[in-house]
Amino acid sequence: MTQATLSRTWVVSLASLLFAAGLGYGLYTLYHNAPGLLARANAANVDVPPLRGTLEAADGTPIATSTPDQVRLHPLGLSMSQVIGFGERANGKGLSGLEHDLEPTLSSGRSVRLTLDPNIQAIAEQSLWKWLQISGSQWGTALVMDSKTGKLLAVANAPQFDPTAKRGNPQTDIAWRNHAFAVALEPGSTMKTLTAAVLMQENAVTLDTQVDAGMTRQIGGWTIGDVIDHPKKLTLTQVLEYSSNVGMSLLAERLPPDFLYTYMKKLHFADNRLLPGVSVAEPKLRPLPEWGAIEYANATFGQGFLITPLHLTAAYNAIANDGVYLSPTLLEGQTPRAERIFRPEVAQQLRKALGDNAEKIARDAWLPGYYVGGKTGTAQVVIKGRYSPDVFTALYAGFIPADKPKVTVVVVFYKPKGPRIHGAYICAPVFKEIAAGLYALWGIPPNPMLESQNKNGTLGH
Amino acid sequence: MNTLWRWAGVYLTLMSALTAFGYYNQRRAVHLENLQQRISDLQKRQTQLTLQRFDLLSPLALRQWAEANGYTPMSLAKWGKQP
Repeated sequence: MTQATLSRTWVVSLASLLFAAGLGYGLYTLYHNAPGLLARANAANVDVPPLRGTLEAADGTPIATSTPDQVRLHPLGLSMSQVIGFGERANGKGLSGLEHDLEPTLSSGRSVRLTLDPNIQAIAEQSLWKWLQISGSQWGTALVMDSKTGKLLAVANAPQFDPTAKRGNPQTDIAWRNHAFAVALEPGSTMKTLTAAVLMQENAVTLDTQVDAGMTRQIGGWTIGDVIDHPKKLTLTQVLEYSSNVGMSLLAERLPPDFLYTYMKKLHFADNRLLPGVSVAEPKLRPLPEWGAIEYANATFGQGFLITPLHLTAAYNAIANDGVYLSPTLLEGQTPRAERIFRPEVAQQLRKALGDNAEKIARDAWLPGYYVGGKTGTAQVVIKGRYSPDVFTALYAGFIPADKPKVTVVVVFYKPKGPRIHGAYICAPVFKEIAAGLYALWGIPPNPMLESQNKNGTLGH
Repeated sequence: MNTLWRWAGVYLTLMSALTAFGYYNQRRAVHLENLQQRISDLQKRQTQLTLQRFDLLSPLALRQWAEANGYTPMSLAKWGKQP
């Protein structure tokens, strides 16, 4: 009996052990293979980097966004592509533009909203791309800045750049570059508006002040010349109208050079941190002790120093904003710094002079039915230490509208080819087309009182 | 021996239940995998459609379409005499 009892105990124990082992194996398998646990294990995997943040336009439109499998998409295609830049294809790490400048923010999964308006950007790009072809320029850029807030509403660049296409040599193929921020150049005669503002602010001149100006002038062995034929006696308004280098340099002699230099500093012409957190090329402004008579004369009409188109836009916006300089902003949430530089009357009188003479200064900038205005510029480019006789930068800087500006616009073409290389011929039409597009966008019809011809009638095609 | 057979029956019943549960679990795993694949496919499709939408309706595309079809911005319209 005793032997039989022992034998049953062993059998039961063995069976229990086997059962426990089978149950354990089953639970072990469940733990490793169960779908719920597997999914949870994946979700908890901390090694997976967060999805790269989205760059959004002012209205929330995604400009650069990532799919769950980390492919970077550009829903607006070619629009804003140079401002956005691009990243490494393998891991998305930013290599240029905002993808590079905002790398820490974007790589941590946070999105960034820009001030750029897709509609205004499209208006600027469409016109700029068209006129790049017409002018045969190497590159071009156009900026639209909100006059009252300092927000950049459009930063257009030409030629077009496809961020998803195979990239060429970044040294020779410059389509990827945001010229508006990355290139410092001489602003040429667009500077005359700012020089006039300085002279008027210091009560050295008024718009009616006259000057005896020939077509050329000698300063210390150097010759300054004018391009457009003009009367011998010019008012300051006419100096702007005829874009007279001689007239502007003579009027500027009513003030010592340090005045202009100080105002250039106030207008941030030596500031390489114009946009917080965003790369901007360093301007080149010669120190005041190095300014002689010719350097001062050159500076009054925009030669001898280098600023980016962004610097020029912000400086012109001080005239648009009744004398108050606003630091430009590209990222929503940034507050612009405001500094009064000119009296409101000075800015208003200058805008009126440019608006009243818009057709004379550049007929192609004049938009019938509207009051817009600005100043042209055509600057020779320094090649190997000398001003090249056939390489130019063409510019136009203006206000829309000129009486109560809503936006400030700057258009630049570099190295245009052919007979028409002046700002009045190739930049002014872009300004006009941007103005036409903006007025249509804002729903403001043309005012028949501002038509020079055919003032009475109905609106028709 | 009766006791042994009884325990064997219990053991086999529980093992059968465990097998059935494991099979059910594997089916769920396959179903989950299919659903995840479907999500991935739908996300790709959504991406394609989003890009197509912007291709057709982005401000730049609309402006180019309007220009190609002869639309004139209101601001460039001319004042003509009333008939």
